[in-house]
Amino acid sequence: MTADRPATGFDESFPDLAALAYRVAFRLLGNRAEAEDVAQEALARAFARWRRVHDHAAPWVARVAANLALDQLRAKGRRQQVELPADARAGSAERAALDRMELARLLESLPRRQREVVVMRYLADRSEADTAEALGTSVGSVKRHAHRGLATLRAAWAGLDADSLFDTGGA
Amino acid sequence: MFDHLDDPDPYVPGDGLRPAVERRARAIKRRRRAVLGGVAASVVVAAGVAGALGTQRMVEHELEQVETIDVPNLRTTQEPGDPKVVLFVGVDSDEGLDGANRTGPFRGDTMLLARVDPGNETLTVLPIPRDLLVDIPGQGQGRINEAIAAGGPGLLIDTIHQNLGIEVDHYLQADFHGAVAIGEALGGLRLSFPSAVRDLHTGFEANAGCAEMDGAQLLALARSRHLDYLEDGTWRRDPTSDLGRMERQQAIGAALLAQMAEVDASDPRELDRLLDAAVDDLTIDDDTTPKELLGLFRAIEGSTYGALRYPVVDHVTDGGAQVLLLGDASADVTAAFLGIDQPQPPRAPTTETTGAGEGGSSPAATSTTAAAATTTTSVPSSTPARSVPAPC
Repeated sequence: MTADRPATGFDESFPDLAALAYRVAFRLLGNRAEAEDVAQEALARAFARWRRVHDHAAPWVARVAANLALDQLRAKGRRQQVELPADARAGSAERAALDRMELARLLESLPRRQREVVVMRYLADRSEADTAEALGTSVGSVKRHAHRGLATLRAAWAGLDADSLFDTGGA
Repeated sequence: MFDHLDDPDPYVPGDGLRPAVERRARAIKRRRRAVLGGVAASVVVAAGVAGALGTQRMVEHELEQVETIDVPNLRTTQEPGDPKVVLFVGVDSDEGLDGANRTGPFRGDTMLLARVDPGNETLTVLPIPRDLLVDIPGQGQGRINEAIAAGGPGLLIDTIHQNLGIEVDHYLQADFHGAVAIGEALGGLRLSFPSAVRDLHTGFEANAGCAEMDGAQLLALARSRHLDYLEDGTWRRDPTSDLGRMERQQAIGAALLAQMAEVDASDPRELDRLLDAAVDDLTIDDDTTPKELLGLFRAIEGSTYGALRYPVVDHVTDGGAQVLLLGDASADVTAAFLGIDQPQPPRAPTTETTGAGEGGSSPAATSTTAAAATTTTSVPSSTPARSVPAPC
């Protein structure tokens, strides 16, 4: 029953899915080569089960890419501890690097469902409906988890002088 | 909202990405086919969650592909909504590779009773000790796991009924590998050892405490027959080999069930995929319709999980066989499993409920409590508590 199936429609969706997976991964990883690796893996996983994911491929790929990127950050975090001087915040690239580290750490601290919803809504920029579809839950549940997750992130971030991150994100 | 984290240079996929994706996809499919089997518990996980999410037709379609066998002696009087008892029998297909250990068609390596009560939303799990000495109808005395080889699942069910007083409504049998694969697909299973353990043969190792184990670790754990545990700074070997291995496999099955019971919701299609893979190695009694099975899974999802254990006593038969006998409080355990209220039992059976703050408890710690109180000829056939993990 796991016979190969023709990946009808995969090629048409490929450029958009690749861009989406890359964007999600880059926002977390901040590294072109790593983000591309994640995109490739996410797309391959979608391809391998295309028959099942084709009708909701974008949220599915976004979700997988985010999970892979977080996995990678977790693995990296064990290997090395990145230290940046405080005044590095002046530069936007360094600022982004710090934001990423902090973001990843905060995401890890969220309950799983909140984390998934936050990642889908605000990192992958998917709609509430898309997020609900990808996570197999209701829009109402997405709203609740997004609200809680965001509140936790905001509270944690407030003490870090980096609240600009949340300037545009409504709960 | 996180625009400032975007790559400032626009991303254009290279020409190599598309073929690389396809190559990688082929590797994924190969690995999936190679690795995914499916133990009953893992199918319960997948089907339960997928079923709960309303993808009924999809799941029923999958379940229709499950191999069925005629199983006599099942109880057929329970109505929908009544509590149901499911007998899971897990077999390790590696046994076939080893060859030497197999007698008859196969023995039940892991036997687990699960009672699903939709009324009060509980799922209670009760492992059956493999070496339990019982009266096998028509066969005389023997280890309970010999029943299935002697007379198939029907005889095992009759044996359970006659000796334990528990009637079985549904029978599920599957290979163990699937549990591991599904556990991995669920993002790992949480298991807690009381102390550090290692198996130099399978390469398994774990520190004390709750840890999330991935597929490779679970497989190494499930296969471990030579587990060492750290006690007072010294590595000691679990002397029971097979028994310990079975108990650890049961712990993995229990962790699967426990983590399934706490599932809130997830990607139904992903779970359908898991189910798709797991049904390959699943066998179910032919009286249970896909609809009934689905109803059962629905009831499991969201249930409160509890584990019971029979107290057992080491015993050597006249013929010299090392077996286990049921300990004193086993009737209480049976009653608790069946949800029968008891007027202040002298010694309440031990129940663990998964939940916050109980991560360190070990069900194995309760498995040998009765052994010390008996005068039966004793051999060290009970597994050291430190060598068996608990769901956490």
